[in-house]
Amino acid sequence: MSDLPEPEVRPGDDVDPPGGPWKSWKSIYTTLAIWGVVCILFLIWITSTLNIDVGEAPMDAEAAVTASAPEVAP
Amino acid sequence: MTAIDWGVFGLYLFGVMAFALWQSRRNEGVEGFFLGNRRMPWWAIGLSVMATQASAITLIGTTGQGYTDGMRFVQTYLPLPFAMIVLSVVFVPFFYRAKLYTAYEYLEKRFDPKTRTLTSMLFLIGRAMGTGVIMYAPAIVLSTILGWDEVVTISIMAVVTIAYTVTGGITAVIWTDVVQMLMMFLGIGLAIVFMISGLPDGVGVADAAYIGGVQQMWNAIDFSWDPKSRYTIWSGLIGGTFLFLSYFGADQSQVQRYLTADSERDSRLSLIFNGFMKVPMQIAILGIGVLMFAFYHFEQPPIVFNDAEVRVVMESDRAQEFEDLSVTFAEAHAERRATVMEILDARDAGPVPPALEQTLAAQDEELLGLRDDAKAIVADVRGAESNDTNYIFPTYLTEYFPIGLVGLMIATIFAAAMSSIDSELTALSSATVIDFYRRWFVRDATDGHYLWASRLATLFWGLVAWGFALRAGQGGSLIELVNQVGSLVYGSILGGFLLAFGVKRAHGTPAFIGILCGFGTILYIYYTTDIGWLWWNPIGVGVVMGVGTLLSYVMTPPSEPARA
Repeated sequence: MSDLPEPEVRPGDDVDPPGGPWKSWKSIYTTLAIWGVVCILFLIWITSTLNIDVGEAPMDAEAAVTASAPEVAP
Repeated sequence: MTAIDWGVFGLYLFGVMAFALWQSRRNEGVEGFFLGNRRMPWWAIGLSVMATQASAITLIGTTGQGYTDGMRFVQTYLPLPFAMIVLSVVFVPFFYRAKLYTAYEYLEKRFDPKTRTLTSMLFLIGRAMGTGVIMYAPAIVLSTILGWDEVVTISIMAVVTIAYTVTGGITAVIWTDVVQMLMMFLGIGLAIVFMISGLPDGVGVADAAYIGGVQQMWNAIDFSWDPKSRYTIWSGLIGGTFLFLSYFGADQSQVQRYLTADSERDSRLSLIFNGFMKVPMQIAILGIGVLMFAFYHFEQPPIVFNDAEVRVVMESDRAQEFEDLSVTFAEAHAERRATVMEILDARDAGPVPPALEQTLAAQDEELLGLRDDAKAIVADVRGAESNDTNYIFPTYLTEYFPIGLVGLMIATIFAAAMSSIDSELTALSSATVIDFYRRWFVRDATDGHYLWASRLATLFWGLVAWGFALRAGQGGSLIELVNQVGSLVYGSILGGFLLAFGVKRAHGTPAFIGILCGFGTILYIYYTTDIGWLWWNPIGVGVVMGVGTLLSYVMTPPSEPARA
């Protein structure tokens, strides 16, 4: 179909490795994929632990303040 | 702003110009202007990729979104690390080894000239008007907050950016992007530090997080399948994947960045760098919004953050009604503050009584309701819906940030805008000169001729964006329309590339028809349905791939392959 150079599209293409702590492209892609999963798990953890289920809110906020915290100054 | 803030801001503008001009001395010919002679380091490209995507709207709009809607918007960014892997494995080898100037050149090499021209034209349509919006949207917010004339704000942004982009080309753009991205990191960090230190004595980060939790602001992941919910994990992962593949794989403003690398390795590393950094950055930006939400439980927020809207209402016959609402809002805030202080005392002693948490949640709702009532008055008086989300963070900055840092933060917002505008201008210019001027009109001129054509094209698109930004305010709905135009074209262009990479039998005319069908389908969906924009890209890709593949099997391929 064309005269384009044929890229060898392989995840494990180590002709020109990334360098640093990563010995191969496969290892850096794996690290990045794990990082993506860690981000998702972190956000799931945030959602499940930091959000507070307060249940049904009282009908009248002012009445609730008075009922639950009578010592609060008006 | 004080004189010191003005000094800091002026220093930024002068510094960025001088730095860009100094960096541009290394440019040689048209390859230097558009590709930096292909010798940029991966980390600079990676920062430029991030800076191009993060416009001023990211900084001021996303923090505002965090304040009003919590963390849920982050779900759109979750597939980004995985998309970077796909781009690095599939797209970069095809683009880099073909030694391209623009992404669309590849489609001529693979298919034919008309497919290249169509996709490049779709890109120009989507990006040209979008660049005006990138210039206009932050300018209108900054003008309101700082009391400047809109024309002045837009013009400062336009003149400085056009000047260094025309002079320095991609080299100046990438190196200024590096500085501007580092400024954004600094700005985000400072915002978090000062927001935490601005909490009352005895109130810590855990307390602020708790206050956000009562109002469900830490809603970062939503597993529901509710189609009415704009941001869920599913729409984020599916729609976001296609969005990022389209943006980073088929949009010249991003492809041009990683074509400047001096090796395929560096091209890949720049994307990998982005994959590691982007999600934490978005978490931090949205987190600023949630922290602001908690902060404004102790300090009274304005009932409507856009001062210009408030002024219009106060000169109308509904001024008294708005004033009364503001008084009620202040009283409700004082009551809520008292509840919060009581809850924090209770937290020190042990578990917080559920009734107190319910009370705080109800008071949050009450204040939100009053804000909605105020915004309804604004909408009624102005005859247009009130949206003050983009004004929340700049309002906070100007009211609570220390002298000097206000100037730095305003410079950071300018930097965010300029680092996107400059990239769009070089991308528009490269598509115009390489895909149209050199391809169809003047094929055999000297390198110097094309260099000057490139500078003129950059100037032309800069002036178009500037002009559009200056006139954008005359039509409110224009902004929304232009934003959607960008999303209308992405899926079809990406479909063309995926057809080229993935379907060996695909050839020119079926690809061309497929792209047209994809674009037509998205236009039809836009005009006749309310399907969310995140779904437009996968649908566009599906139509292009389906029609293109089917027709490639039905139609006879040309005996001679098309050549560039």
